Amino acid sequence: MKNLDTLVKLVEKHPVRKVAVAVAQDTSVLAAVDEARGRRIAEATLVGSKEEIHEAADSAGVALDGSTIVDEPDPVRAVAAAAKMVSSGNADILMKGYIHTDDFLRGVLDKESGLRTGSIMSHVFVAEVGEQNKLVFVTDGAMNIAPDLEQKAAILLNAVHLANVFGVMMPKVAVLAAVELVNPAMPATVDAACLAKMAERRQFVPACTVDGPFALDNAVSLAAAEHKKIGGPVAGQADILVVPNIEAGNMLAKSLVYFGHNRLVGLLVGAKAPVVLTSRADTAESKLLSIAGAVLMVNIRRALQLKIGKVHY
Amino acid sequence: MKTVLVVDDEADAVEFVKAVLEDDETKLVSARDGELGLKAAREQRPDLVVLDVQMPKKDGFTVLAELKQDPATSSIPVVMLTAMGATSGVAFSKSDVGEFIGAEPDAYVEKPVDPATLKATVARLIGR
Repeated sequence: MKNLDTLVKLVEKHPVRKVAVAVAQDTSVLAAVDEARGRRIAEATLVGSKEEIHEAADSAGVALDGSTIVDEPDPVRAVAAAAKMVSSGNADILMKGYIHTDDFLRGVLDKESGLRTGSIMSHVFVAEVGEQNKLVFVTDGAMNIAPDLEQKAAILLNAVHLANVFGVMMPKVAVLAAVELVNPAMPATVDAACLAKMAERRQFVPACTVDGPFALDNAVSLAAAEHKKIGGPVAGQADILVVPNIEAGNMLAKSLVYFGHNRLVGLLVGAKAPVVLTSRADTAESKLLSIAGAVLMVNIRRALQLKIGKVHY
Repeated sequence: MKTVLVVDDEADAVEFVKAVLEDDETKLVSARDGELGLKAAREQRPDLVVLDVQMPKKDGFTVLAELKQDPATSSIPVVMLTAMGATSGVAFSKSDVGEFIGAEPDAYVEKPVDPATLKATVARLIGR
């Protein structure tokens, strides 16, 4: 899949899924949910302060007729209730509303009502990079703060899984650092080289094409890669960008939106079910696209029986 | 003699395709998962591949993408046969597959398959 219009077009034809929205009192969340319902992509249960949900719906110009609302004024308890709906199978997707990411993630990770599996959870930004006419997956810019090598390997495989869900069946993975040379003074370059070697030794199942370290320019620009005489199948053509830490990933993704005017989807991978995790400041369109991405994730995983891969040690 | 490779993890499905397509001019070979299917396509260079979508080890979409990306196999016609719509409600059209994975099969047929349609589709694609 090369763009997010295709995403919406595909999910409009496929089964409608149920979204549990945690702390739903947010104008852009309600506008996105309303649009998703109108396009027959998803139906939502809104969990949060009923009074504030109605106020936000009024200011968004959204009619709540027929919407299911679960009144839970306390935001932390609202996340727990929404997560429980998903973990118990009463909803397919969990979505973050108007709540801080760390409070939301505590609910997602809660041992009792949360969505933990045996594997690591990580966040992936899916960016529609218009100039390159492709989707680029950036991870992890929202959940894992400073992953070590083992965590990066799991984060990488989660992103490969999501790329497959989006129809990028043989993604090229670039592990980013500040430079493309291995430098012991920069641990990100050493981790990147290790991940590339692990892929070469077929430690990742499914096998995937990984290279690094790369500076951003030689990962995404063939001209830059050629200028620096960096070869290989990934250089200049990366589909997945594995960043060294949350700051790098967050800034890269947001720069794609605010400087590059690209559209963005935000999803968690590795939970029992897809989780829509966007910034509160994101537009209703971005939130709608993220809901569509989560619906695609449910549908394609079921249709193709796709599972997240494993690392051999 | 033309060779058709059937890639499907269900023995019944392979037998069905064999019964429909095998004759004096068409030899059928089979592979039981996506990885073995890719290997067989690369080694045996069949005249056509009949490909299931939901398979262990490597799904049919990935196999299709790899076949069409590899210059050695890109010109082999691929007929996808799938029960995906019936089993998961996630139905694709031929062009949907093209937009989804960037490689379009030469034909895309939802199961249950009409034998006459399959025979005619294959005959058209292998130049009969």
